[in-house]
Amino acid sequence: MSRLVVVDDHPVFRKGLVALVRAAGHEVVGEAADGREAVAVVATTEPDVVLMDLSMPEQDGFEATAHITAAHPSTRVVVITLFDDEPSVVRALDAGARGYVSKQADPEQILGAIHAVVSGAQWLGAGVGRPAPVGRTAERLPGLTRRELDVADLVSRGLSNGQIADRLVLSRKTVANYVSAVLLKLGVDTREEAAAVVREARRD
Amino acid sequence: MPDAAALIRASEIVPPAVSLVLALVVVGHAIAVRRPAREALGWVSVVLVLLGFTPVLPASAWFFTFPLLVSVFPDGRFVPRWFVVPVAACFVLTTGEILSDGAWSEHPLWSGVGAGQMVLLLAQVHRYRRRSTTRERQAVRWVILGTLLTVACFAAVAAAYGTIGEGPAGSVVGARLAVLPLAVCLVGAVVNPVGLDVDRALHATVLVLLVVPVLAGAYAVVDGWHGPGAGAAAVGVGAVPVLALGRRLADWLVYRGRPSAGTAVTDMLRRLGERADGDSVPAIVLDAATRAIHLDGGTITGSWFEPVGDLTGSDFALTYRGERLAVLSLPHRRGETTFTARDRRVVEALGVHAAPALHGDRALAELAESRQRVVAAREEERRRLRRDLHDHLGPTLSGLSLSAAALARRTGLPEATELHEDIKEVVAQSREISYGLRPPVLDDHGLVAAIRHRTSAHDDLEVRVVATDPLVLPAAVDLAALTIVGEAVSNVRRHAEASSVEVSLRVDADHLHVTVADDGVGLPPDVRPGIGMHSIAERAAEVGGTARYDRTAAGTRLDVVLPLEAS
Repeated sequence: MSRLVVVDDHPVFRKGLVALVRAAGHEVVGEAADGREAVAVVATTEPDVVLMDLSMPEQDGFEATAHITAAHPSTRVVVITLFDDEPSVVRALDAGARGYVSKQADPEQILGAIHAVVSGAQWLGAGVGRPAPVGRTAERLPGLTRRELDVADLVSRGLSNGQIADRLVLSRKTVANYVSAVLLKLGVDTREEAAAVVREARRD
Repeated sequence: MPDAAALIRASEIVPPAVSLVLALVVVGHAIAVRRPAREALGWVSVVLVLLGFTPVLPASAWFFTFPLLVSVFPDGRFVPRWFVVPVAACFVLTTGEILSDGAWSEHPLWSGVGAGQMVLLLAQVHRYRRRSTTRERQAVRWVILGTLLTVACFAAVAAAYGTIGEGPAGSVVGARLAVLPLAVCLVGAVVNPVGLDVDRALHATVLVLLVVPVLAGAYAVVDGWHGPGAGAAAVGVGAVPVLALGRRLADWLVYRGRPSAGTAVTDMLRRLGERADGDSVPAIVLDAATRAIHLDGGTITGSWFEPVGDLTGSDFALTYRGERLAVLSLPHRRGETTFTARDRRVVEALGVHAAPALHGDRALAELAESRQRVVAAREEERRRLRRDLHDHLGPTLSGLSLSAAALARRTGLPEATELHEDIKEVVAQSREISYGLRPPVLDDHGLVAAIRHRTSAHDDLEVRVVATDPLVLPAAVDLAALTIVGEAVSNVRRHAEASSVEVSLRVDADHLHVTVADDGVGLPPDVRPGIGMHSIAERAAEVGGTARYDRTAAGTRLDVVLPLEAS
């Protein structure tokens, strides 16, 4: 079982969270009500996992997460927050969080996240916005509209126009138009070549 | 007492001398102020009339110069046009008279020429009563006044002595001096017609000329029939109705160009009824008042609108049910320190009828204002409620739910599991309530993120949102901005055939400026504001702002301005 620090500015929620993880057999070695306090508590207790809220007074959860994961590489941070939007997820993951769970999630989700990050995995809870796969590709393929990037990405994954149409809820003809636009903008003649360009952009 | 011979001698010298001097004054003035050449005939006719009173022109030249004067004064044009004909006829007759050395005037029909000339004075009355410039109206009034006074003097001389310019010394002197009022008034008309208001003098002259002959005639006739004393009684009985009738006639003649109170009120009410959305009620009321009594301007002030107009003078309070709604300030005419009773009557009548319209206008303004305050307060309240739910009640319930789950784990009691499920249900409900209060993204991530979220769709339209961060806005304003932009972008999607649209947000001291501009086909010129535009304008008005489509832009461009504080 793991040693945990629970960070949340809301006392009732913190109490519930502490009760839950204790009931599941974990040891809570410290609690904190804001980011600054969390950094201090983590420094003295060296826990396996920090359960981190994002919106808090003083220092918010993003900053605290960035600090903690940098100072204590062996400590995993699981964000437990009200925000479930994609930009917040991206920010938290960039800050070094290994798990991301909504506060409305089932208790099993929270416990599952703890278990996962302790065993070295990453955990994004159900209902949490996932960073789009094309997010990073977009910067390397300038000139394509967002919709064209979606189509280009699916082309690079070997989907046919019909499959892409089903996936994006578009007509087959519209998809064909997008594919022609993508080929033109990437300066290639065939969808195989386009797929190679997109895969290359996604790789690094 | 100078003797009669001296008086006669003086009357021979004074009028020609005065007229000559006045003629020189008119010429000098015309040169000094550089009158336009096309108006020259106007003042030249005055000079000719004045010279007619001097030995420079033969006395009988009057039979041509007077018709010319009344036809072309003051702007040098024949009004009405066809007056060229009688004036030309007078020229022929006058030339004949002069060339025949006075023989024509011996003809019995010649007296008709003299009387007919007075009819030509109607040309000036016509000018006066038709709408013309204030200056022209004033000038014409002088001419009419001068002519009437001179005619009155001749009539008085004739009544007193039975002859004009012959026989008794009084008749001779009176007849010669009688031309002076006309000479003086003509100079007044040319040099400074607006310096003195001759309204009342003209009114009084007309009144006297109408009333005195009637009463005198009545006296003479009744006295002759029924003996001494009867005439005085007739005058006593007839004086009041004749005076009243005379005043009405004088009113009609002098004031006819200005609408009566009734006409002015009808005109104002019609304009109030037909006014477009942009027209302000106070401005219409002010305009009605200045038009009704022929002023160049005035001011109207009230608590609910910016003052309209610039000139001030006498104040007229516009009251409604004992409350002073607005104040109409009207400047006096040049040379006057007050308004005539008639002017006051007209303005007061307008005020009485304008008051309900002004009251309605104020009530509408207050209603809009109070609605803005209510909307602003409601949105602040909803934002606060949502924050309380989201930041405090939500986590509390979630915490309780986790505690129940912990309890269930430790004890294995089915009741604890049920409790956990029930609290989860409550969490979901509070979340729904919170979503219903405000779009959550607006308060969690701000207006820009909310707009991006609201306007994103799976199509090719590129939506750019440009903003000066951070936007700290009242709850009603950011919600209105979000709704308006959402509506505008969805209009772009439906109609504009655009490939990109830019939403820009800018805040200054008191306003949020929102622009939604696309690169599409633009508004068709004949487009009527659709339901989208209507609801956009309504959302803006709800918070006291405005929303306008700019037709001059390429593509379509919506400009929205929302005040940060409810007025």
